[in-house]
Amino acid sequence: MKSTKSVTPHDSSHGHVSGQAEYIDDRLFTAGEVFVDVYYSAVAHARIRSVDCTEAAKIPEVLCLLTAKDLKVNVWGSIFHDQPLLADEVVRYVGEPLVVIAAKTREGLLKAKKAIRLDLQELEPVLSIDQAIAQKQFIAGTRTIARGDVDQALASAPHRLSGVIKIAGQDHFYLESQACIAYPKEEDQIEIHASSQHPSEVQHLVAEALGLKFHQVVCIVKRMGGGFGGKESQAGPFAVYAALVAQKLKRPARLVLGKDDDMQITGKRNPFQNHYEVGFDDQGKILALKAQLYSDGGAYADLSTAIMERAMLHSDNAYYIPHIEVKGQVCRTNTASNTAFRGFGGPKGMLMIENIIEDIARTLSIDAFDIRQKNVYQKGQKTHYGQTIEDDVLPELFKKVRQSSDYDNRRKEITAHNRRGEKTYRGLSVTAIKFGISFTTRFLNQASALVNVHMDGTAQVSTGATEMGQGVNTKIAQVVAEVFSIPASDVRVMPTSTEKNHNTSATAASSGSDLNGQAALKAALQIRERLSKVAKAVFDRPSSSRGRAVAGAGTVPEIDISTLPVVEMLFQDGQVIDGPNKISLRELIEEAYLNRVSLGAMDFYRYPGIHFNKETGQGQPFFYFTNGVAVSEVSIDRFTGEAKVLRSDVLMDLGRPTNEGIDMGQVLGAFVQGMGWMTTENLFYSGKGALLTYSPSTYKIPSVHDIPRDFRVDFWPRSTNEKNLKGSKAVGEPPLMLSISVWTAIKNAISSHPQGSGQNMSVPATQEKILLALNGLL
Amino acid sequence: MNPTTTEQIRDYIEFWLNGIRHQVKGAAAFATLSDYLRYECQLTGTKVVCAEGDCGACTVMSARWNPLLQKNSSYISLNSCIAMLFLLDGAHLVTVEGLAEDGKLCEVQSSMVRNFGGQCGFCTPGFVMSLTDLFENKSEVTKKQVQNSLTGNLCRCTGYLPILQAALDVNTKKVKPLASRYPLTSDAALMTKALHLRFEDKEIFAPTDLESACDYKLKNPEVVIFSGATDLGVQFNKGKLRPRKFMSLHLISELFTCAKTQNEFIIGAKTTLAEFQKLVQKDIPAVDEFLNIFASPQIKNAGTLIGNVANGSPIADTTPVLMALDTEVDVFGPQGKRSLLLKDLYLGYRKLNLQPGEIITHLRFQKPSAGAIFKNFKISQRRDLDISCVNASFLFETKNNLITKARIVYGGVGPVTQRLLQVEQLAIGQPLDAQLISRLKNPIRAEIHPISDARGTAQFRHLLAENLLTKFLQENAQP
Repeated sequence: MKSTKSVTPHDSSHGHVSGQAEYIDDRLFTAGEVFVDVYYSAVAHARIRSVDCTEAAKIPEVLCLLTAKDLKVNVWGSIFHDQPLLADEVVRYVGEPLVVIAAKTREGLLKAKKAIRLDLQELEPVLSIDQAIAQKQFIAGTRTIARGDVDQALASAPHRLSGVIKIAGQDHFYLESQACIAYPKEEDQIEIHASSQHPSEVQHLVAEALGLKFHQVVCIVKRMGGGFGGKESQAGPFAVYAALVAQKLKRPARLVLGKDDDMQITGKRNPFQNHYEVGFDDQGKILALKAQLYSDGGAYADLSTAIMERAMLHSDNAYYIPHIEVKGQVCRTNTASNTAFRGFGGPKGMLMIENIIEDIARTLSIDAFDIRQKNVYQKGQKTHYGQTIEDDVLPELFKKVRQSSDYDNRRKEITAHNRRGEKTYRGLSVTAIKFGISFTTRFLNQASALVNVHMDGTAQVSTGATEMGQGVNTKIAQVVAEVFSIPASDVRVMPTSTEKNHNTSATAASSGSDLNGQAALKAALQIRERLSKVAKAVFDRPSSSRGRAVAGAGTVPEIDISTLPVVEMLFQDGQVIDGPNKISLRELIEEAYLNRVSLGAMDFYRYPGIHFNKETGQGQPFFYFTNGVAVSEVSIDRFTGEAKVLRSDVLMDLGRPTNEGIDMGQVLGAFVQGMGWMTTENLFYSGKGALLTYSPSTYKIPSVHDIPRDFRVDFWPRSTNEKNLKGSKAVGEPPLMLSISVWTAIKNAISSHPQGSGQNMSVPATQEKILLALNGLL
Repeated sequence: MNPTTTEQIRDYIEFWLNGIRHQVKGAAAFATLSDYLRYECQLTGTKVVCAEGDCGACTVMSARWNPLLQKNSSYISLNSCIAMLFLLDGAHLVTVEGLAEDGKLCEVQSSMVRNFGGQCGFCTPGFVMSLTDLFENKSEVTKKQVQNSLTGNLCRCTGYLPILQAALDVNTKKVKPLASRYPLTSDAALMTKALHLRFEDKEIFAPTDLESACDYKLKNPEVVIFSGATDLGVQFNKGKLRPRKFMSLHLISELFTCAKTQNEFIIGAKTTLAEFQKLVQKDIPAVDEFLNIFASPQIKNAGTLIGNVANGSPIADTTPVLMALDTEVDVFGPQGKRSLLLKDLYLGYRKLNLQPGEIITHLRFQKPSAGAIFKNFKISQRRDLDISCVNASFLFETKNNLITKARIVYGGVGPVTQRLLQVEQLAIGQPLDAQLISRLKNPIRAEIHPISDARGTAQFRHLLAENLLTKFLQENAQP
């Protein structure tokens, strides 16, 4: 890892390590504040005959019990409006909220939950993608993105393979579970503090559900204890529940889920089941790919159709496929509505093609690394949706990592090791990413920022970006600080609030720093331009015309910058310089104020030049791509199936990072989070659709020993991305998908066992599946 | 007879928090430590995520009172979310708010800042506390030690490497031991007084002698004895356990025995897993190694060995180990003392061979003979801090290359931890080699009865039971 010591630490790092950083449940209790919780269904599919709260209402600590009929509008959805906030006629998954409870104590909430009586008529649930396909339980229609003549190309291909890859879901396991507090204000206004990636959606949803106008609701997000996509859409309903109580009782209302409830109520990463047929030549060059992707959307649409679209757009991943047809269909099942999760649909498309390449390699007895290098996109080639690859970064990354990871020597050594067939089998694999940056829905790619410069030379910045640990606030502070050449610590990024930044997009799609950082940069530059003009005017006058006393006396004409041309000044370490002339930034700011020049600016940014026609599946959906490669080596115990990641070499193309320490953290964290999904994180459901692994005692995210024993991360030094914020590239999601290399390495290891049956491996590759596969039982 | 007289009884608990003395009675005494910190003291730096001791966000430092040694332990880490407040009677506690001095971060905190050790920050206070534990009294640490010290802390953002780097970047010369700032000054006289605390319909009883404890248990069969609360605290938080009568044995000095006499080890009911590990570290390395992958430091610092055994779970991880060592269980009850073999303690799923009023007081076992081959296995979805799918202990002795003693014990393959007595018999007199498994394979399959659940299928468990012994025999085959 590169040294990160010289760069700016996370802007909340002091608060994090000292326990002073405030999260929702750390807010002081206000007088009369009540506790809120939700009562949810224990049945996956049923008609509701009645919800009886009579006994629960008699409990002294209980203040109110609210159901669907208490909402003005009881339907929501980020794309389609199809989900009730509180189920009223039918429950469609285990964990679906039915009743909102408010009580004076937390013990009162527990008692009330036990006293609520439900009368349900159970219906047959749909609990798998296969069942949904058989019963045609779909969300929206089938989409297709295609190029060329795939059937003809398959028919004439020298080799063909077909198969199905099953990819399970993943729980976000953000450490801070869903949480919010609603404060009732005068004239029916609500101020809501939420752990949400999407304050504007919270504002709109709360207003609609409570029958308020948008201007009566303010949503504030200071920070989240992790989001990962799980608080993009799904923080919304909880905010409604708290706000509803606040509205009814006229008391502050706090809803903080426990982890067990959070994991049962909220949606996960969408499970996928991808059916494919691929044609290739003797050298392993892929000629055609025909794929049908199915995802499990859960009970309601949520963001699943957009997730599917991204999966389809990433089914090529880093590889040029001349003839290709990708179809995508979201299935409806009786599980929690699945939702955004770091990578969105990306990894589900990428996994399929990376898995196919492993199988091609085994079929042809050619090293999978060679197959990848034969198929990698070259500059000027077009993707199946018509976007041109503008650089040669991907082939370069493959070349570099092959050498820096010592791939070929290690391959020889591993082959020899596996031939000895001792206690362990080892596997080695490379995978790549080409991740498109932008929301594929064009209108979401916009952001605003407000910069206020204060008289002491410090600045406050407000944007629509929400801080969930990814360091977006730190990057924005650095960008603004650089404009004025002041320390980043003199720029404070304020809590995200819908009263300062309106109609914001979710902090998602890895675009938070790009969009909001650019908007903040533009706003700061506006102010610098004004200050430069003031400086020029000040330098042009005798120094006796400066100062508060002179301005107060009104003896000197006011500087009017509207009449002055744009000038360039050097802002350097708190000074503003023009040749021999020099003024301290602080004094200049005062002069600007005294001459009635605005020291605040709002600006706006949108990714230019993007478009995507969802009907034809063609366009330029992405502003640019973030690329990367990783080589991982695993060792599996032939007796127990236990897998260890011995080494991972990650090489990322991140342009010129704004903050290397933060970007390094994003790469490491995303990779390890992805590894968990690939290996130990096992969502296990009862035969009736209830999640049984709903806490960390059974749902195992990676721990400190699980990271690669030897973990090497490097940034591609020759990377440039002049079109984006200060040459940087988005980093939030992409590295997660490099963890696919761990999964393909496990497959590679299994394939070297004489009885190994790795071709049926699914995600996650649990210890049990590995052991069964080693014994030819999978 | 009740030797505890009224003058020797108090109705409040006492402990020190960040150097300040707290005396607590009433509802708060029945709360968990984390609730007390967050809701009574506004010390919200301590976070609660899982409320089951799996994530470590709630980690604080604690120096508990030891009535046998008449002093506090050193400061060690603890999961405050599952620590019942009354169990901390006599302890000194330090939370994350107690680390910085006059706003100046301590060295561990500074290093975390320098090395980007936090991202979303929610797990960070817990990591800071676990690292504080690691650096108490250590002048140098290895990467492995750092990792072992952090198995009880989950982070979803950083990928852990920045935290490891922060730990390795700590300048140990700048680390001040907590005791220098928060001296361990518990009131020994107070700790000789029994505790009897009542609130509404609930009560906490902590006697200073075994007779009173048994007497109370006999008269109040519904009483729940809390020791480390590493399991009961979880059940309490999940609403599955709402006792009205709580008992703690933390004032009974003889239960703190943790000793080796000649070749016998004797472990009292209040001996924590960490203390047990320290005791056997040199003499029985196989147990030491095994305890490194069992539970987390926070859990081992609170949970007791006897608690793990008395819990009766078929996947308790120390039970197979202790059964392979032919451990004897000392029980104290209304009829006085008796002993039984651990293998005879379990009558069925979580059903113990105990009479009304009886309390397990000590475990005793011999150091394995010099030539014994002893190995313990734990198979779980994740290597660290995970409940086992299957665990196993094998202890073999040989003479002239033939097996003279065999202990083959499995957990997770039936309703109780099980010694495979028939398989053991088949092994006696055979050479210890890889081929032996072919004779034992089918008998193992016949003697165990695993089920399928979230941790694994019956098929997987059968395969593991066979493979673990195969692995053991292969690795220890004698020429």
